[in-house]
Amino acid sequence: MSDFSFASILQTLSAGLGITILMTVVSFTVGTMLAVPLALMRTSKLRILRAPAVAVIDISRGIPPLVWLLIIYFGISPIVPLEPLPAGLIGLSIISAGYLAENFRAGIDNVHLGQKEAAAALGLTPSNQFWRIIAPQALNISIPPSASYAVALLKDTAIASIIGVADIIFLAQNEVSRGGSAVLVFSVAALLYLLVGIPLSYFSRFVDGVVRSKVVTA
Amino acid sequence: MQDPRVLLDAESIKKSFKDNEVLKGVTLKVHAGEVIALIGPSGAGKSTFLRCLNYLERPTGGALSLDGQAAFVDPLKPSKTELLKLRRRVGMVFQTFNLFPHLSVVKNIVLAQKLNGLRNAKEAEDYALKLLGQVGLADKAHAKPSECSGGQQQRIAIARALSLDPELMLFDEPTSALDPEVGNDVLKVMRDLADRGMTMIVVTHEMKFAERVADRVLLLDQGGILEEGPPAQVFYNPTHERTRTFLQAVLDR
Repeated sequence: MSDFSFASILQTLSAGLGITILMTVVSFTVGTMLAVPLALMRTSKLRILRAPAVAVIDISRGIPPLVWLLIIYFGISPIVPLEPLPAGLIGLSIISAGYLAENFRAGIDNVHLGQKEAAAALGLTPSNQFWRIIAPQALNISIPPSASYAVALLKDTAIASIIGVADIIFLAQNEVSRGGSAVLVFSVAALLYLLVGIPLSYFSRFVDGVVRSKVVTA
Repeated sequence: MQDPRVLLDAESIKKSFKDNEVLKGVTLKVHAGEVIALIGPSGAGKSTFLRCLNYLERPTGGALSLDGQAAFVDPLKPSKTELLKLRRRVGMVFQTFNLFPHLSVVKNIVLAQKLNGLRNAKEAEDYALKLLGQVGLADKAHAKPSECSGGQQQRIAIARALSLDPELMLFDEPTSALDPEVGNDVLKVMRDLADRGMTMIVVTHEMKFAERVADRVLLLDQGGILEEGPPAQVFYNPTHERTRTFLQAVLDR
């Protein structure tokens, strides 16, 4: 016996909402942790540090997210047994790392040169110049684009349904194959994304406003 | 009375960017307590010379001594320690203020004192407040730089540079980004500083300030010193025709 009413579909798909949010939060967090060292290497004066960072960032961003997930899932699971969810998390984290590293790099590059000079003229060591003066401002500059990336990432997690992660879209496809109306089912899915995405967008705009006064850009 | 001690000895400072020779060997001895005004047309190398004095710009030739001691064993390859030591003794004020926007006014002034191990947190803050009082901005201590006007920011920047008790202060066109009225507040702070005996080198287009406050005026042109002497001589009895043309152009503006 099947019930394909709005309420019933909403209830079924809501079970995937947690997974969608989990993927967003985890891959954003892991992505950030990977992105910080990548951005530092990327802005290094030393080519030996810079070159590999450039390569990693370009590759992570240059391959379509869907292809990343397929490669990781089908490439790794025959060797090491890998569930769809961890495979999805690994892929999305790598992709996030690339985008966020670029945001942080742009943040570092956009702090006005005069800031570093003022810090140097005050006898700050190169390390203090960076961590006390450049990094806090770079972070402020890169927070708004990173917050809007979080919104993009939330939507991008939908591709993990392809490798079998039981997120909103995976459950939606299930419902459709069981006889639910595709338009209705996917509309409910869309509604669930908006439910999280809109507050996240508002938050990112709020952050943008807060941060604006705290930096002098190049 | 000027202290006859030579505080800064810049010997034949050269600087090239690629093939472009910006400084062709500028020599300047500054006595303790002396105020030097560096004037000249844009592109003459005034700012570059000033920036070579604290190695924000690394000279491609020449040597620096402070108080009779060479600042660098090898002036072309400064060590990190030598750089820090030089910069802790030489304060700098920039045309664009360059206050740290993420820190409150008082923290802008406290930071370098603490990081250089000059004073502990409490002493550094007390000293910062005292310096802010001296530049007439005690009430701005807990404001953000963005909440201060340009003229206020520049006075804060002066207080910040003074926080390390520098022996020499460098000013790179400190009023060029300011309205004349606001600029006067900054010039007043600088005049007070000069009166209290600070040794200063000021790159400026403010000829009145140069005339009234400087002990010596240097006119730089095309990377070299064209004219040098007391303000009265440089302004009213210059030896070069080029000096006359430059001064005329400035006064006609």
